[in-house]
Amino acid sequence: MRPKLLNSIRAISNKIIISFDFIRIVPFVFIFRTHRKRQIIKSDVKRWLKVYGPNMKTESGFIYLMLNFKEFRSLFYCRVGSYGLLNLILRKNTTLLINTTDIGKCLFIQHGDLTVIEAKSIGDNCQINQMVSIMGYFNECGPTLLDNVTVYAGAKVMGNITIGNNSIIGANSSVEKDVPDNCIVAGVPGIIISRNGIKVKEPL
Amino acid sequence: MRFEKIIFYLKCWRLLPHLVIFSYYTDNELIYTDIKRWLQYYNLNLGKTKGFLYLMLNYPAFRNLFYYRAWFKRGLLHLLCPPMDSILVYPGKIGKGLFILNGTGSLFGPKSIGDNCTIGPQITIGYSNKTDHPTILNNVTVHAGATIIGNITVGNNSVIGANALVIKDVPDNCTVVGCPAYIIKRNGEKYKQLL
Repeated sequence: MRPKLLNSIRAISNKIIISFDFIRIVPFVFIFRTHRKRQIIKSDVKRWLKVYGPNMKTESGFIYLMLNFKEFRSLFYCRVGSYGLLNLILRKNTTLLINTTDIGKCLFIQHGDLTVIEAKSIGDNCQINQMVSIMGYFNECGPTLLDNVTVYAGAKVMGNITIGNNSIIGANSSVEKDVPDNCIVAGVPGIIISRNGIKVKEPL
Repeated sequence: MRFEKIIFYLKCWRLLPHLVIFSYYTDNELIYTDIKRWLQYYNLNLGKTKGFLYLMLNYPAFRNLFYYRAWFKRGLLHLLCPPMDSILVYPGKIGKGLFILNGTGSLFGPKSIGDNCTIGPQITIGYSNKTDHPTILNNVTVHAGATIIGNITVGNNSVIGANALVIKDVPDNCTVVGCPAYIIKRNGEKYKQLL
């Protein structure tokens, strides 16, 4: 008897939650359709759905991402602005601080807890993980990331520097000087460990 | 601009009890010097009380610092103006003029911190035993992701780089990087030495 009853209660509560979700997602779908930055948000959704739901369409995928991923919400509020009230309906990730206005399309944040993004500008197709801090030193403006950069977990990119196209910054490394194109950087302080796919060891 | 001002004053109602406590603590220099440093960093020309309100509304790391100074660990004040969850502050002496830049995911468990220190995000100033706490002297800057562990002292005016691991004493006027940390600069000149 008991498991059947529990299951029925569970099903009913799920239905209530789903219907409540449909009500509160309405303003976000309206913004998604009419905002002037909608092309950029669509590109974001496509990039995220490559990982989380490869068979979804963009609009249903947008609803799925908004309801389930706090990182996506804070990226959305960074693009659009929270207007003070939207943040009350769907809470953003409080530990993920994004203070850059100039972000290219297709930014992917995989589990963005405890990250600080205060870059001068970020290019297209970048990826940022958790525990990362991309910011300037005290009283200085932040770094600029060009296209296709990935920053792995725990890395620190500090100061007024530029990071080249297609380069990768390894986990728990600290980078404080310019990084050229197509490089992989690792270690504290960071050194180049491969350039154009060939193993090297060069200081930055 | 006028619209922003109206919103600012509408938001301020929830800070009334904080203002009472702030005015009660007028003799205490600690909070005043904190506010001076924070306003100096963000280039704001505001008075003491208005600057206090502005910082409390916009920077959650400042709330943690205020609650620490005023000895309010929990209660109604936290509900009205919630502090940042990911900062942990253990009791210990913290000198005047501490500046925390976006202190996400940081832990403060020092024996003492001196005056006018600047501290970045994702930092641990903690202990390896229950009795081992680091002591940090005046004008120290600690950059993002550094960990300072054990019964050690960090000297005056020294800088600890990003993602450095410090487990031994650091002398005055040094910059320290690496994991485990080593000196790369001393009194403004290049210099390499293990700690």
